[in-house]
Amino acid sequence: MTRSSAVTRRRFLGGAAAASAASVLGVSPAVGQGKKNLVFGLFGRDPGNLSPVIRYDVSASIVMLNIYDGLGEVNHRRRRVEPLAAESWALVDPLTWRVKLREGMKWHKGYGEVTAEDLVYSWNYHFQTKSWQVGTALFAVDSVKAVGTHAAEVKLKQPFGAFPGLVMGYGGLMVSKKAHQEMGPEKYSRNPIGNGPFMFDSIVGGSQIVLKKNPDYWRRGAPHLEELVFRTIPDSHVRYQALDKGEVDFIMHPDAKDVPVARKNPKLQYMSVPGWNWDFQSFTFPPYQKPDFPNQNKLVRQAISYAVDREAIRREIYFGEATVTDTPIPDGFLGYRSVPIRYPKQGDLKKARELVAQAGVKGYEVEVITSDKDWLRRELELVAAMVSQIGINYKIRHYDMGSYNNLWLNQKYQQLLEDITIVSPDPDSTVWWFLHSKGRNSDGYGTPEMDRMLDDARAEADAKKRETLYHGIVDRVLEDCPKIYHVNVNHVRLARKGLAGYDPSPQEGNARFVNARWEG
Amino acid sequence: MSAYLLRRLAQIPLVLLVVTLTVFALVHVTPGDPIQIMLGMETSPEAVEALRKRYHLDRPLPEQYARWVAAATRGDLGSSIRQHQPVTAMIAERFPVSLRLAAGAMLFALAIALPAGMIAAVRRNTWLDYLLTGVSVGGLAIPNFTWALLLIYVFAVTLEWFPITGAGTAPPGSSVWAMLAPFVLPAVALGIQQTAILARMLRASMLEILTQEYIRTAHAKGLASHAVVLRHALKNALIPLVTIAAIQFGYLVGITITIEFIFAIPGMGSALLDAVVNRDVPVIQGFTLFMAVFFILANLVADAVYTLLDPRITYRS
Repeated sequence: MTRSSAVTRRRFLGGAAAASAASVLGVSPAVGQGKKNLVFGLFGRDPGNLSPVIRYDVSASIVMLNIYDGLGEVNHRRRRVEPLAAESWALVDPLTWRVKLREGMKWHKGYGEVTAEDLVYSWNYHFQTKSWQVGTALFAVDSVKAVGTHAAEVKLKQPFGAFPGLVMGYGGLMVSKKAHQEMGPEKYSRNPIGNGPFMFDSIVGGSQIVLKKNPDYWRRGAPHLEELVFRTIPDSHVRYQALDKGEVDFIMHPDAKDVPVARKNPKLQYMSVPGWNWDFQSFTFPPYQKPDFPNQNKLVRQAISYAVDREAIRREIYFGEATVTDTPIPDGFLGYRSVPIRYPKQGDLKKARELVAQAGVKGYEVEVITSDKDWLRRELELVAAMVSQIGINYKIRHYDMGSYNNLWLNQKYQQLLEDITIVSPDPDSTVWWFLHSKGRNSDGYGTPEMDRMLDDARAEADAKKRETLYHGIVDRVLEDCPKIYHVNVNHVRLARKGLAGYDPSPQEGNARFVNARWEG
Repeated sequence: MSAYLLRRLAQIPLVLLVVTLTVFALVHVTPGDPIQIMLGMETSPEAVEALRKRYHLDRPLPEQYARWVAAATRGDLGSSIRQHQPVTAMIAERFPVSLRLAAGAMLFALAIALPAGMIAAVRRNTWLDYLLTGVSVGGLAIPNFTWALLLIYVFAVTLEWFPITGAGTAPPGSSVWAMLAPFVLPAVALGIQQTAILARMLRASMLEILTQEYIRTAHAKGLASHAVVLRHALKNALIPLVTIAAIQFGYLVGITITIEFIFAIPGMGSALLDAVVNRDVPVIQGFTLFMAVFFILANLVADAVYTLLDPRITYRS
């Protein structure tokens, strides 16, 4: 007796049902190819615009640095900015830089070759629209003109040693002149045309951005991935769970409590580098504060710095994922020195009490504000407990981000705790804005001596001399304590096992996947 | 009925006037400058001024209000300061996502609340009633974000039945499951509290109806219990439930913020949260106005449904 191979009605219906179910459920046969895509579980919220000539945030920067190749790129190991879209740059005279662009580099989607005209157009667009970049990177640039298809001449208003870092490294993202004029700025911001390893493919507002491999990328053999997907997942714990489950392949900023678990997870790989950021206390000075307020005495501010147990902050607030610091210049920048330089990791209460006594202060109350970031709230409570031991009572006020920024940016506060990410790779950015009397966030601090030191360091073109100048600035900061630095929070990145060729950056907004690939 | 609806429609402009004034006042009373937030701290005063002028934020408040309302009547809600996109385009992109989420939540709520409310009423004061009542109170007492995290842990991480993320991102041509699966857990998390409300409501309504004369008559006629409950009692008990469900649906669309945040859903709530944090005035104003209109219409539909279900009910002009 043999089994009938005839198609019965039952078998037919069963088969049809299975086929229908498979098509509805989207079940596809397994393919034996290696993994060629990467899904990035992006922190923050909607990245917003993807145009480099409109203000963008950190999460947008991560996407954009995979779409665009800037003129220069940060080599944090060598503590300098190296050419990328530019082939080289050279100082012709103290007020003139000559930038030579890489030849043969193409804009995506058939928009032609990258030329000096694109550079001139991009920077002039910044100047015409008075964009934020004029204040952050291009403020020293007087004019720019093309002096050949691939060469531009940049005239400066003043000697500017920070040119490679600030202008090439931070202000060096360009738009395609042709595409930008054709589309207009708003359309371009959501349909970007770049010159980098991945091309923009699609966007679902607030949720997902898909990039595809640029087949004409100038670096032969790169990128290795065919597709790069950025999926916004604002909640850090959910982001980790999505990674653990395999819905995404890569995340940043996991919840600190998840990190020890992740490190033991055999499916994941862990990367942690000290970030280019600080948690810091900031003070206001006259005219935003009364000159006789106790914290106007630098001995009191030094006492506060001595009273802070930075190691406890690192351990209790960041679960070890931070690096204790007392200086504004983090590792990876020119001018960095091993930390802590002056204030002990675990604080020195005896010294702090002596300084308070020396200042003739017998305890006081001060309002200290912070935003609704939960780690800052906890950190401020811890710091308040620490300084209470030297008789200073922190009256803590939490604000939502909008209200907090309003108080901070308008100097309507007495003292605050904030964290800040440094976006441009030059030490000038870590100090000038915060300490110069004309700096947006000096908050009343500023002395002729500090102003001169900052201006000299900004102007100096020689790297060795600049380094010495920044050491002097940091020493002055440690003496005056207009800001008190606690920690550089580590950037923790987690990936599914097998990711190779990815170099974790100390910059929060920099996660380039140009060399990334899956192995094994 | 038609006269009543027309009168209600005529009231809408007045309601919207109050809504627009309130939203506008709240947005402008709250501290925080959207331009300053957008441009950051290293920007120049000239750049701030230029952008402020572009969005007419340099004009006196009454003029800003008049401009906004005038443009809104033409269907122009302005452009997002942060997203560089028309607010209407953002609503068109995000509203269907929130609507799908709220619809899923309501379907789930009704699917559970109907049998649960009915059983609790029929078996009143028994262990089953107490159990269902207890579960309902639990459902109400626990906030939806806690449910969300619990559901993720059990059904996504442990059992791996559903994805956590990806709602609203399936490309065109994806399978039905690929489009629906990411909505299951968020819809359940959002719907649990509604389930409890609707179940409690149905139970109370059923209890009242089960003591009516016509129910006793139906029993006396020898009808089977299930027929009495399903055909006579439930039909009438559903009237207030449907009305509440319609109103609750409008409410649901407006409270998706936490669920959208946790499950990374690109809906109205997450965009509004983003806008509030960044003080993106056109988005806050436009979204709130749109939601107000939607809620008013949902209420209107509820009233209309009420009369359709029970022709005895009339609205006096």
